[in-house]
Amino acid sequence: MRSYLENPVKITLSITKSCNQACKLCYCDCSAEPSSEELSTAELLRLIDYLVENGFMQVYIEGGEPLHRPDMMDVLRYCGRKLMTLLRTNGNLIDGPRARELKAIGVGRVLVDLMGARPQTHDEHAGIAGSFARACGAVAALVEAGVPTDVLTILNRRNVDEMQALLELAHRIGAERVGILRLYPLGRAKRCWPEVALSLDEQMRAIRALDPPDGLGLMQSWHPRDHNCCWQSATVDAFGNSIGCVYLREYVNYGNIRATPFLDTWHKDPLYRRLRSGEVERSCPDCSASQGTDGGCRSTAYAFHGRWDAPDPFCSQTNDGVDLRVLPERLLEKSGKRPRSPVA
Amino acid sequence: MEVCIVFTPDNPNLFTLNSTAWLVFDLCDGRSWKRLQKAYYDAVEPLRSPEEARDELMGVVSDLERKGIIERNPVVRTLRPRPGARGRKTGVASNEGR
Repeated sequence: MRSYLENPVKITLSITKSCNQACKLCYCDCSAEPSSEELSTAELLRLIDYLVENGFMQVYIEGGEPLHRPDMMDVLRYCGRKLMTLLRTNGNLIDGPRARELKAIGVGRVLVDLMGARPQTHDEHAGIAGSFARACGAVAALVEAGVPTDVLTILNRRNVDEMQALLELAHRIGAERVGILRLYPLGRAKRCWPEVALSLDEQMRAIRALDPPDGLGLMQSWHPRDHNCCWQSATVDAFGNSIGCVYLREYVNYGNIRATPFLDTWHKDPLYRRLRSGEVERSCPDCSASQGTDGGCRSTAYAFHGRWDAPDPFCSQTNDGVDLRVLPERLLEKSGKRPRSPVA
Repeated sequence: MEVCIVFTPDNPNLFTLNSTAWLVFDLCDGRSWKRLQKAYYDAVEPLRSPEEARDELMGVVSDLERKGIIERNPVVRTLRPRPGARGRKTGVASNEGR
């Protein structure tokens, strides 16, 4: 089985499981205090050196809330001119001076989460009052400082009626693009799934109804744009585990970089190679044509079907009657995270 | 198949270069315009006439400058990567069997 990409170009660092908010749908199930087991500053800087030495070109940093780590600005400063650096954040720790500092140290793009177009919707999700205002302020400050800035949101029952308003808000405050992300059955979202999950019909209606303002880019991954991005996915979590993609965090562990060089996990783990090969049972032809990949998202395929090569039920052409509002029982059991597979 | 990716830290961005642009980027190693022209023509002939090669090269150099990937030293008339700009080829396996 031949993996499509010989060596990775980009990597995600899910750099902390700590956060200054208490989001209802948190995939990481974050805590206010960072764990002592998280990669240290020195380990992160060594990892960045390793990435540069081994030809990586881009790092995407998310969390938790990355800026909640006391050393985050030092880490960003270290990688800003070595790698194309993207930062995903709740924005609550970004004001004018910080935005200018992010620009100065070379952060290439910032993505700010907004979970609704109304303060009540977003703040209810974030678990703290004032989060919406600070997030919007962060977008405006970043734009003012000259940092390319996007808005991200996770489509769910609590914000589905606000998507168009969110596009218009994002455009007004200067965001270049809005990314509407699907809801994944991970962390806290999994535990409140019946309250927040939409049927596929409801999701498609919401996406099809969108009319982005002129000049605003829209990113979404529903039919016919359901892509299987495993072919290039590389992620290291806060504890140094190589997990391929942040959305696979509860299902896989290809090895820990404290013991195994990252590229050894990339080249040698059989499941990692299998997922990157792109081989699936079947695929939507429209999504394949538009995305150049087959089968759609492996995380949601595995979550709902329990098979790595199953079709993605989030594509209307390969949904096969799966009700996305109902999770399989096995997902709600104690995490069945795959134990570390032996190096081949 | 290989694709070529360049990172430009001055105005942070990633660019994917086609094979022509990658060749030009590779050749912009501090050589003069005249030597660049000769090297490019040597690489593409007989597919291009000297005039076609020159016109094509001018277009690619202009595009790479606009993107901040290379810079021109007007005094000594040489071309080289912008400080910090770096590129790599990334091997992409064929899609046989996909």
